[in-house]
Order: sequence, then C-alpha cells, then structure tokens
Amino acid sequence: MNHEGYMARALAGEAGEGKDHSASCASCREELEALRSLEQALVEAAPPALGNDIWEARVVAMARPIPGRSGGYPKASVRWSSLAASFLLAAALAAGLRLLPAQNGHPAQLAETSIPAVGSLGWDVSRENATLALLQVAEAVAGEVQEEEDGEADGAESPVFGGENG
Amino acid sequence: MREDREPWLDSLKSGDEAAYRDLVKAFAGPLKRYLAGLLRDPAEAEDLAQETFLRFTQSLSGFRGDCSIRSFLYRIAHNLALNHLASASVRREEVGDPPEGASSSPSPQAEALRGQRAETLRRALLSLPPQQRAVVILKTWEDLTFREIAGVLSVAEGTAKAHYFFALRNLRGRLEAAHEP
Repeated sequence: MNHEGYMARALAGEAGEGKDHSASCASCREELEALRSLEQALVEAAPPALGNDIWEARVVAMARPIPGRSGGYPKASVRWSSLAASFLLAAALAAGLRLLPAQNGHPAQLAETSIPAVGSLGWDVSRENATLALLQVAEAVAGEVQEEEDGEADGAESPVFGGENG
Repeated sequence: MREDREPWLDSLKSGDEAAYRDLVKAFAGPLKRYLAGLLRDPAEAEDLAQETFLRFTQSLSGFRGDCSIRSFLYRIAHNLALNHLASASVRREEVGDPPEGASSSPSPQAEALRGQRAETLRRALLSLPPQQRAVVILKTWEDLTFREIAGVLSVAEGTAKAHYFFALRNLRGRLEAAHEP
C-alpha cells in the first residue's frame, strides 16, 4: 500500500497499518496531522441545520399518505396519469369543437345552439352537454389508467434508483 | 450493506402520516444544509429538499431497507443535486456566494474571527468538485459513517474513504494557495 493509501485509512480512523505507517513516516504524519486539523475546523464550521415549521408542514401536506390507497403515498405514476388525462381532455375539447357546425365559414362558438345530432350517435344535446360528456369520457379513461398504474406500481421497484437501494 | 432496520420504516410504508411528519422534522434541516452546501443556493436547496421527500415517498414501496433511511434520503438528495449541477445554467453561476448560514452577522470580535475562519473554509469547500464537496460535507457536517457515505455516492466503502482523503488534501492545497502572496 502506498503512502496515500495509508493516510486514507488512518484518516478514516482505521487502526493498524495506517497508524503504524504514519508513526514511522514523518511526511505522512505531518500531512495527517494537518488534515485532521482541517477536518476538525470543518466540523466547527458547519452551519446550523435550521428547521422551518411552515416549510415542513408544506412538505408533509404535499406527500401526505392518501387514505385508502395501498402504501398510502402518492406515486410517481400519478404524473403520467395527469399527463394522459390532460391529453385526453385537450383531445376531447378539440373533438367537441370540431363536431360543432361552422357558421358563415367561421368555426362555431361554444354553447350557442343545440346540436341536432352528434355524429352518428343520434344524441340531441347542447354543446355544453357534448363537451361535458366528452370530459366525462376522458375522466373515466384517466381513472382506468390510474387504476392500472396503481396495480403495477404496488409491485414496482424504486423509480429513483431503478430498484437498487443499497 | 444492510444496516439496522429502522423502527419507523414499517409505519412509513403503511402510510402513517405522523411517522412521515417525524421523518420530515428529523431530516429537513440536515438535508437542506447538505444541499445548500452542494448547490450554493439556499432557495434551490429548499426546492430540492422538498423534491427529495416527494421522491422518497414515491420510492418507499420499493425500498427494502438495505440501507438506512438517512442514507436513502441523502442519496436521493445527492442525485438530485448532481443532476441540478450538471445543467449549464447552474455551471455558469458556479463562482459565487457562500451557502445559507455563511454570511456573518454582527457579533463580538472573537465570534467574528471564528465566523470569518468558518466562512473562508466554506468558500474553499465550494471550490471543490461536487463529488469531493459532497463527501466532505457528508462526513464533517452531516456526520455520516463511511458506510453511509458509500451508500449515498454509490461507491465502495474504501472508495469513499479515498475520496475523503483526496478531498481534504485538495481543500488544504486550495487554502494554502489562497494564503500565498
């Protein structure tokens, strides 16, 4: 083992070779003393670990356990569900607008008149109702996606470290 | 690398809110201090500490207790901080202010001298490469064992000891260079 190896072990508080070597090697002993002194100065220079009740309460509120959910906590997959729901919502709104009849060559305004029939479904609903119906479909699909993700996540590995915790 | 099983791990896994509150209370301050030491920006440190707890809860179901909760939390925070530091915008701001708590407020003369020395040390610490900075802060400020540090940095315990030695040597060299005329 070289001088640096000895010093690294001695600095880490390992008894034996490192200490024996530094006892017989003046340059290592001198450097080791200087590094220990620096180490002590760093310990004393540590800023206080300040608490902040408001900040802590906010963090707890953000990730508090959810009653009824297995494991209790929000999972990373929630974000994907949110994205999926947002996409479906946007698609639903766009589809709702497209279904509305154009007036004088301009796109139709929302909630003006009734739609006699939506596509081939034969529904007679107002435009608001058409949009609401599409939103409900989007929510229902997002709910199903969430349930599937929850089922997968219960047996999933850590998303932060790819399942390797040690 | 199995360490003593945390008594509150089961409570946390079962979604015990009180246990989670205790966890945040116990580790929020040290995590923010660690992140501020790494990032130089107290506001960013707070944001990443918040993200650390969120990621922790999201990862809890897959956490097998192979390392301590403390190591696990610091590891998440460390990875978040390194990712943050890797961004170009942060690199541009690398030269700069000391972390939270480093500014000296008016105090008696002896305290001022002591505070001045501490600030010099913190500034020198900030000039180290992130990985060396991390190992020094984890050891001297956060009092982690080398086993825990190895877990945080995802390296072998011997490597963590070597990193620490070279980081202190590097720091000493920088301090001496700064005092030369």
